[in-house]
Amino acid sequence: MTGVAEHVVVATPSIVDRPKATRWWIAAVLTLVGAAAAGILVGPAGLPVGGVLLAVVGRLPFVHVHSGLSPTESAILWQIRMPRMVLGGLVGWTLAASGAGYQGVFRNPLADPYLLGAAAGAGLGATLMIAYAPHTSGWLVDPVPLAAFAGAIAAVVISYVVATATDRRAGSATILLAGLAVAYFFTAVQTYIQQQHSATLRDVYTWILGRLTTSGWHEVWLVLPYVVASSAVLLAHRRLLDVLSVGDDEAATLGVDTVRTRLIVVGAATLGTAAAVAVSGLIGFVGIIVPHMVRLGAGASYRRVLPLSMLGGAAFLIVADLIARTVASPAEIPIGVITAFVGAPFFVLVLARRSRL
Amino acid sequence: MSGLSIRGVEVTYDGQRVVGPIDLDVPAGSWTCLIGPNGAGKTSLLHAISGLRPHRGSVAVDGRALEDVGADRRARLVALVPQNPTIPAELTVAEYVLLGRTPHIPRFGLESAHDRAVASSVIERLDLRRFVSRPLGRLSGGELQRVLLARALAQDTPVLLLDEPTTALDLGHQQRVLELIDRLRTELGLTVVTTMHDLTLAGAYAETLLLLDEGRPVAYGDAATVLDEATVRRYYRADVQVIVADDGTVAVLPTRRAHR
Repeated sequence: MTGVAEHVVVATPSIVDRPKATRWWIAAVLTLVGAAAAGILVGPAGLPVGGVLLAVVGRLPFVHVHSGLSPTESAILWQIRMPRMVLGGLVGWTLAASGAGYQGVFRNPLADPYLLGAAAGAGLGATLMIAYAPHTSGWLVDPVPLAAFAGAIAAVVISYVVATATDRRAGSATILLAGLAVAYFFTAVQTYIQQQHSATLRDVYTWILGRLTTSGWHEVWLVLPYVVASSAVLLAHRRLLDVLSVGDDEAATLGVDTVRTRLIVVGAATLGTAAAVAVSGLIGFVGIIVPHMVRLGAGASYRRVLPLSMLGGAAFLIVADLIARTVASPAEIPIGVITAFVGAPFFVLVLARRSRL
Repeated sequence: MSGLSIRGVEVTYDGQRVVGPIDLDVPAGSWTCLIGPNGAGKTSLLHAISGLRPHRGSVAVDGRALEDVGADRRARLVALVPQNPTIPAELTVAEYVLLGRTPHIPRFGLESAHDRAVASSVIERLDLRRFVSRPLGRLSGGELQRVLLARALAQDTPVLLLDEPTTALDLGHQQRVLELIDRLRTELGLTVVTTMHDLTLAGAYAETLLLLDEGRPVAYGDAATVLDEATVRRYYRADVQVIVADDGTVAVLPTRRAHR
């Protein structure tokens, strides 16, 4: 039996080269470095730029320089600004990656990490804890993030179970509809609880709007394992996400188990999203805006969309947090307001572009 | 046997048998076309062969039963170009053709230099070089059909299934696509099974026709055997005139009852 491969002249140079996205990689890395630098340099304390940069360089292996920062300045840098910048980066990284993952498995460019009820689940979890366990300051661990994490995971799991119970093949449309139903149900329960405990409205509302508050590096270490695990799984599936773009049936004829692939990607994206939500509240639009910006520049293949979205998402949220904590200083604007303020006009731009295609 | 062998294949939907039982042998390097009216079960049979639909009976390629091999192995034996494919409009032609190499790539791996060479070869062979960087959404119908074919060829399978490969193409593009399939079949030794509604084109290109009606095989053979007026009238419920040219080519012409 002869086939195409047997007819290939191997010496012929490939006309299907690896995608040339070097400039986008450089741009993404430089943007992230710039955002990170701004994130640790800008703040009400007015730390000396040279001292901050020397302090950072001094932490590199085999580099011994004296920053000249006072102990207070050093504490501000290493216990306040740096962990907050890193946390913003990790949350943005994972929300953008999860958004791209969801968009891939559901073949819907407007999908976001909260699509299958993660936001509603996290909201309900946090509301339950704020309403029924209001005095938690003496607790060993803050239970609100844990409840938000559990709520987000529970909502997505229920969506999946409902979808597979009604459709054995668990098609993407069925999962989306199940997610919609679960999200509405959870939101209804949350609204009812809020109404019954109106004194907690302000706390719940503040949480929903999203915020990056840190107590040293605690939140960073809390979220980091989930971000690493989620990112590794998503990156491993970046080529398969391209395969899913041809539809379930055709992907199946290419030998791909679409149900399993979708389940693993949704699981990884949900794990990352739940961890991000637990430490930051509900920060919207990052999961949509960043992958779209990447697509506009570097093309639609998930080999580039996923990793570039991670870098871009981290940079975007660090900058959004910078704006949130400086524009009305000493007050802070909820970071979710900033991302939505940028996100809504961008949404219009995307829709306009899509209608021109 | 060498080629595609189908034994007792049946497809059921909701307990209702829609195809079969069907026995069919498609010798290696030959072209068989499934014909029949809408709902006859042509697409269901193609989907059963490609593993998309559960079925009874057995399908074997070069003597290997597809029911006994995994999905990726099956995808290295049979490629399908569906009638209404999902088109990822923003992927480029190169990216899309490379997806055809999926069954040859480890689950979490990326394409090797060999995979890229195969995709390049297919793109050259189908004269798609100038489109490699173009998104699928910006191709014409004829160009897109060739790209779909290229992705299936990149799968490098001995059996190629095409569901209505000329739908929505004008007459010239229909001919060019069918000539291309025939050339590839000859050059690469592909075993080809298509479905087609245009009986004249089906008879002109396929060596063997299998006429299905309500899922059952009702006529089998070359165009001159299958495409007689009585058979076409009976199963398509159409008024036709069948003309056989001196070279043996069979043309099926629809006629209007009032003007006959």
